[in-house]
Order: sequence, then C-alpha cells, then structure tokens
Amino acid sequence: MDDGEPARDWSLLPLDAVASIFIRLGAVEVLMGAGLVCRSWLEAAKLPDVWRAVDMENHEVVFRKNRLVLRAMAKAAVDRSDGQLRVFAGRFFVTDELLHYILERSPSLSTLRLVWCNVFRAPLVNVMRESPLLELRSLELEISRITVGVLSDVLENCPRLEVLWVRDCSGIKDHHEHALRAQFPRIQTITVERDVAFLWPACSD
Amino acid sequence: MATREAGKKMIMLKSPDGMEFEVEEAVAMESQTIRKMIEDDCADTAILIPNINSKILSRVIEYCNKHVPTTGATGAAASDTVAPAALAEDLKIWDAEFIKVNRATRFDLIQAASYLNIKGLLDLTSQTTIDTISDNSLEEIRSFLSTKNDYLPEEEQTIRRENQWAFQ
Repeated sequence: MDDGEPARDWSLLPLDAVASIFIRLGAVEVLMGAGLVCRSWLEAAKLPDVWRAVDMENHEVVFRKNRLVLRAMAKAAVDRSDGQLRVFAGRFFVTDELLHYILERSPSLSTLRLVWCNVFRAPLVNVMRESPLLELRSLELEISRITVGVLSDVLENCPRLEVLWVRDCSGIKDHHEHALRAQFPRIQTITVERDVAFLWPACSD
Repeated sequence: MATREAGKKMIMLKSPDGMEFEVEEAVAMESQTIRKMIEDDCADTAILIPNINSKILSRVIEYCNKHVPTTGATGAAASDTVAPAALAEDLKIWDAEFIKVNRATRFDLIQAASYLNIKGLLDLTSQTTIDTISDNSLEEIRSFLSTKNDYLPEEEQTIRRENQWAFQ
C-alpha cells in the first residue's frame, strides 16, 4: 500500500490523536505494547482519558496470562485512569482484593461487569457499606458464585443502580428476579437469566 | 457541487503550498478549530491552514462535504426520500472507501483531523489504525509505524520493570 510515499514517523503524531487510537485499541493492547512504543506514545498512554473504560474480559491475553499478572495489569490501568474510570469488565482473575482496589480509586465507576468471578465476600461488602458505589448505574454478573442475600447487600450499596443483569449465577434462581424487583423498585431493569444447567467449577486462587 | 444554492456563505481555505479552496461555511465548520475561528470573528475571507498540504486538505474537505448535516430546504427534501438508516449505511460505505489510503496518507489525515478537530475523521482514521497495531509485538508495531525505540538505557530498564507483563 505504501506507494513511494516517504514513511511517516508515527511517534510525531499529536498526543490527542494517539489517545484516540488507544481508546479504540483497548486497555490490554495499550498495556501489552502499543503504549510502550516510544516516549511520546508512553506519554499518551498515561493520559487518564485513555483509561475511562477498561475491558479485560475477552482479550486473548486474559486467557493466556497468569492471574497475578492480570491483576497487576488491571491495577496499572486503574492507576493511570487517575480516578476517571467509568467502565470495568473483568473475568476470573478479579478478586475482592482487586475489586476493592478499583472501587477505592474510581468514584465515577458507572458500569461493572464480572464474568466467572467469586467476589463480594463480607469484608468487601462492609467496605461498600462505608463507601457506597454512588455512581454505579449498571452491574452485570455472569457465571459468578453469589447468594441472593449477598447480592441484595451489594444492591443496598448501589443507590443509583439502573440495570442489574445476572446470568448463570449458581445462587440466583429464576424466582429471585421477582423478589429482587419487589425489594428494589428503584432499579429499572432487573434480569435474571439461566440458559444452561451450569455446574459450578472450582474457582479458587 | 453544482446544485449548491446560491447565497450560501462561502469561505476560502488556503494551504501552505499556495492552493485555495472555496468551501461552504457549514462544511468548513465541521472542523471545530475553524468553527471557533469563524465564531470568534478571526476569519475574514480566507483562512490559512498551516501544516496541512493541499493534497490532504482537499481530502479533508471532501470528507467534510460528505459529512455535513443536510439542513434547510434541499436537505429536508433529500432526507424525505431516503431513510436515515440508509443514509448512515451509505456514509459507512463511503467512509470505508475514503480511508483506503496508504499509511503515510493515513498519518497525514490523522494529524489533520487532530489539528482541525474533526471528531468523525479522527474516529475513522484511528479506528483504521488499530488494525495495524492489534495483536502485534512491540517490535512489530515499531516497524509498522516507522518509529524507533527512543528510550535511554535507564528509561528502558524502568519501563521493563514497570511493565513486566509486556516483556514476558
């Protein structure tokens, strides 16, 4: 495709343009290489705007790397967001310790999506009681181990939640959808889906 | 376009290599940078666009021409006959053709979109660039982008230490 045009040195691209590329590229790609290409790209990779949405759910790296490493990457992303994180999605590597780290540093968090996680144990729920998730609008839990009691404790501490979506979580049955709706009329959309007869796999770290 | 109504306000854009482009003000105002100059009355009859040569500027104008929202009598007539979804689909196809350019031109277009603050064009050019970068190693990305590793040895060490996951 490069028909004789002199090559451009992409390190000379304005920072806002690099940031625009990074936002589309996603957190994992930026952390894994694009954000380290050269000094100016590293500078762009440290702009909080790049880290408003951190999606670590489906990238192949998430399935390849050690969970400890993934947690370190998630923490680096949260640090770089400098309090601007709005959206976080993670998979089995997310623990209560990581979730605490995220919640503590992300007062604007509005969307949280967790797949195949074993989170929200008592100490974290206690922390949430002290500092509720005031901006959280959407909570999605998929294939995660949680009881309806714990889930309602969590919801108590998400006063502005608008959407709750629970799918294939072992402790949440179909009839709980109605009960949750009755308990939390302020939440506009509550959906409980159980599409597969799911056997809970051992999920420990 | 020949069918443009008479009486629409026109504005002259000049590239540093001496070319002049007469453009409808509404088209030029797709650029937030130019819009601000016009609104602040910093633009009389002609605006010099530094840093952007005539080849790239003409392509940017082509983009803005296509993307300017159609309003007024002729615009309303046009959107009466074509469904909004079809218009959006047409724009998508047009964008995909527009961005079929070599890497150097893409670089120039990103730079222009950034300088002129044209969000749609910046979105389009950045989106196309991620395909070049995704799933490649640091060295591969550097090679694609003709960018050198410009870290000092001690900086390189710090980066490796702070971003170990990228080097494992």
